[in-house]
Amino acid sequence: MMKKLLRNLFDIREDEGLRVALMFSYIFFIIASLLIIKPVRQSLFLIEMGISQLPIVYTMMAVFSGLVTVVYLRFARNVRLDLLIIYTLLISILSLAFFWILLYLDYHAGWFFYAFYIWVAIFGVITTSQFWLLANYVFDAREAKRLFGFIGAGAISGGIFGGYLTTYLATVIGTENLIFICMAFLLGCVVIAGKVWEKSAKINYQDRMLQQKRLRQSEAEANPLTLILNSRHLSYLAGIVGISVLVATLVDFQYSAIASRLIEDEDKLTEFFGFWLSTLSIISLVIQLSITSRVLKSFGVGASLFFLPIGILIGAIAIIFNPALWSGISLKVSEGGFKQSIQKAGVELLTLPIPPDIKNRAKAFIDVFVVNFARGVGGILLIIVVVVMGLSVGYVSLVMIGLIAFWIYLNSLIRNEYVNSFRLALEKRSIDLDKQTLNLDDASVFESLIRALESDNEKQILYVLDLIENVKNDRFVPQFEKLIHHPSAEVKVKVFRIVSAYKDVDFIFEASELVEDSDQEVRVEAMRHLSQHSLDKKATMTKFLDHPDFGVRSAALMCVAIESKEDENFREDEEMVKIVKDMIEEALAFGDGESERSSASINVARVIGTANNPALYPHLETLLRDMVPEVRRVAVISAGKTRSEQFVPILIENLNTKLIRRHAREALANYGEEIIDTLVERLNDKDEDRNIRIGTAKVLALIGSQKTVDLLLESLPHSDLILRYEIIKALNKLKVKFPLLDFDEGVTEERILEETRNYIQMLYILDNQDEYVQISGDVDSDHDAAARAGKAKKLLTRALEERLDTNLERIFRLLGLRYPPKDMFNAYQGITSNLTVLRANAIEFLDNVLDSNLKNVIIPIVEAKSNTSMIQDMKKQLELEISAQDGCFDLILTGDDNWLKVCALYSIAELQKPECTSRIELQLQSQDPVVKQTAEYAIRRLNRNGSSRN
Amino acid sequence: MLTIVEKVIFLQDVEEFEYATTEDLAHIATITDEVTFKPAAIIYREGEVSDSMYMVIEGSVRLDRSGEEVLTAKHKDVFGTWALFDDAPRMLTATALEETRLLRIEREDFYDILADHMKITEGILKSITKRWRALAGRVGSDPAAGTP
Repeated sequence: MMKKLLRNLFDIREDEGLRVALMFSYIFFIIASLLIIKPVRQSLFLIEMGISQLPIVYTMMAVFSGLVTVVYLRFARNVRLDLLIIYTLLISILSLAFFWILLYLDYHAGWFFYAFYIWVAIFGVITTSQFWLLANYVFDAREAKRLFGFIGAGAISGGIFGGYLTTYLATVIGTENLIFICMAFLLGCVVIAGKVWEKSAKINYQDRMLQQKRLRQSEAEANPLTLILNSRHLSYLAGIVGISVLVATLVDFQYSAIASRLIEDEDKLTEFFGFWLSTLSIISLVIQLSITSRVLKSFGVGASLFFLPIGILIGAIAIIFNPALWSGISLKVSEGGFKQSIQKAGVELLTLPIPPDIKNRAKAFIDVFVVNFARGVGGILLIIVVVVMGLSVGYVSLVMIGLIAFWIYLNSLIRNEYVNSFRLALEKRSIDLDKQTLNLDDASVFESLIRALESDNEKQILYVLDLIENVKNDRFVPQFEKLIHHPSAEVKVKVFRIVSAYKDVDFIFEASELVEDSDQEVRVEAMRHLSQHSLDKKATMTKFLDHPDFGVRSAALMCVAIESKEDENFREDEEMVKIVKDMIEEALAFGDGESERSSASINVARVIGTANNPALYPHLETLLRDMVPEVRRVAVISAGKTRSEQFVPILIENLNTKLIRRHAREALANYGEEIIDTLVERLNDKDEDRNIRIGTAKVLALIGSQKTVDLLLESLPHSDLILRYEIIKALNKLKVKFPLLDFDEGVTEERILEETRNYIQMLYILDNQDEYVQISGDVDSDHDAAARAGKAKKLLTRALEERLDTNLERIFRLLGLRYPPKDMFNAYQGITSNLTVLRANAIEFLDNVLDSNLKNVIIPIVEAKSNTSMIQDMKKQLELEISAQDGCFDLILTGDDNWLKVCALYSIAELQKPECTSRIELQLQSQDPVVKQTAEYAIRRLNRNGSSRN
Repeated sequence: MLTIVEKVIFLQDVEEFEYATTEDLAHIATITDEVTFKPAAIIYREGEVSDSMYMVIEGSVRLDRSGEEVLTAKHKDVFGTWALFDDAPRMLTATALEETRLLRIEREDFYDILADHMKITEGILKSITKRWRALAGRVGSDPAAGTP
């Protein structure tokens, strides 16, 4: 019952209930505590310090807020969000306890009241911004558009509750003790934030951290001030925001001055501020619900911007004539009431046509610098007028009137700029669909959208349809009626999908015709539309499943699959399942030609993936072994959607099938954690096909689980060269994509040291090869044989050098698991660069960053590539046992590198080393055909030359 | 018959594969065929569908357009390279001038190798880019080309 009510009223869906409830409570308690603490600080400051100090604290607040915000933003980038939130809340609770103790001890030093005043301002900004940041990870863009309105109501109700609670309790328990209630609310927030993080935000956070990192990198060069100065639209916007904050500071001063002059008791003053803060929230809400939408619809964004300055103007004039409590309250009501409703909606609309990347940068700059600068200017103006010149509050109104005149002028300028920008944004399609909620209340926005929907440009129509997809508005219905006849299938499909949210709108006539459209997607959507508006869904679908046209029957099959996925009754209807099974059998036997049969099979594969009904799995099993690659490809995708255990072996087999393996990887990754053990088992199976083993490593790279990381790190020492490289690459991907995964430092370090040992061994072979790879006298005297021996030696040297290079790459990839991957990548680029300066910088960087035990082995190998004494030192340090008797051929032929073995065998043959015959014979049993072939060749060469010498 | 290693040694000198590692060359070597042509045998004709590239191991090959000689390919020279990258008809006719042994790579096999070994693709792209840069440099330095 409750669920139904929530769904109907607020469109909260089944799996969203808990998340929404937690976030609603979180913002409720944050805002409630803010609305308790604000009146407390206001009354304490005014009673203890007096009104004359208020301008000074405004100025100080601007300076400190700006500084703290900048420092906070820098710090916040490097700290995980959940820790950031919880630490902030805990620090806030401790700070509040500290403030309470000082108040309890009757501490009256001036700095304390300044600090408390400024602290509350910073607390308000940081905690609310953290909440909305968390909300962005808890909900995806589509959910956010639907649910943020309801969650925002949590903030409003928290505001009303907090303020009225203060009014009620201030005189009962005393102003100071209200701090305890705040602390209790914040403690509740700590618990809620922890729960929300674990349940919903953690996974999304990991994913989006990566995107944000990329975004930050691409944004690194941009200067927001230049962006604002280069755009008239942004300059006016910054001007309007700045001047509104400046005037708000003056309003707050006048209101506080009048209240503190007339109410002298601290608790009564707290009660007064608490009451009016809550009442202002209610007034805002009433204005928002009753006026905002109408104003925007009738007059557009331009007119909405005039309400706040004109409201303040009237209040300011009233104060000039009669500076009584009612005039102070009416000034505050007109400022507070319009600011959070009409003005906020208007300013939000003004930012709509600005491309998102520019908007993000400019908005951050305006929120931090422009707002604090304006507040600081407000404070200085008040110091001049009130403190220096000693004028009364009435004169502050005169200053305000001058500022409002300029504000109104700016409003008139931005109105024209906004319409032009919006037109341009629609043409360029620069409004970000995932980040914007379109407010259609603005008349000019609506007109522009209608014009775009009426255009001949299909791309623009589709773009606008995407924009309005989640904004239900009956005024679009006439456009939908036209667009359902549009020649483009994509447009028709989109219209059907949008209209499905309009319960009273039906296109039954059009849909009846379009069920026979040439496009399969149009047919499916038309049928879904008819089924949505039909009283007997099953009968409607059965009719189409019996249709004489095969195309219509295929679409009906897909439609049933979609419906059964969404509707449990439909899914469990045995009669329907039987019809679908019969239809699938018919489809699989359909058509004489190969292409007809294939397209029918592809449709069936899609249907089974969409319906995900185990009764249909046997057919999918058949399609996974189809002869036609495209059918197998679609079947693989569908098998991934089912996540059924029975498809795992065949999906793994497909890791070795060109054209399909990418889809097989994604399909297997869909299974998530449950498949990790199976994949690791196949990865470590030495009898398994190499391509499948490589494929499993690539699948594991897509499953962001701690278990994957641990098992891959464990597999490394038992894997051969090629697999080691693939496993390390998989670990690198996991590290970058899922930054919260833990890469055990000890294990990672051990793997780095293992690769370093391999490197030193390879370097030793390269450094000593001249001793072993000498051209013998017999060969030297034969010109042709000498040439062949020279080529063989050159090939071996080149292969060894290449191996050193890839070994170094593996070392740096492993370092990227222990240190920031980007830093290690840059260092690797520097080390392998031909430019001496870059190499030197990279070495210097590593010298400063690496831990001493790693530094001791990494720095020497990047400083000198081949150095006998360095090898000797490193052998000791890494406890590497390479005896002088171990010739380079022995080391290679007993290793796991087949290509090096091939080069060594060929060198032995061409350099005529009969003493190596026994070692060559061992390679005749190799599983690798090229090693075996080269060993046979070497034996033949040595035998031929031996017999010719004899 | 050449062994895989001998083919690798041969492929090291092919310009298109200059950035491939020796191990990657071994992968390419596995898809090469050794083919022999008698003197005056036609290897391919102008206008025919192209599907293979060739490298001269021994002997020489005359390449001509409409009977007019364009060049003669000798030991280690490569011809018909573009067949690996598109299926446009042959622009020249190739004729063996003497008993000639060639290494042949077919496009289909080559694509299979590229699909399995990304590093080879990277190397080939690097090599093609290098040639484009060289070409662009030459065009850029030619005052007649009208570019600065």
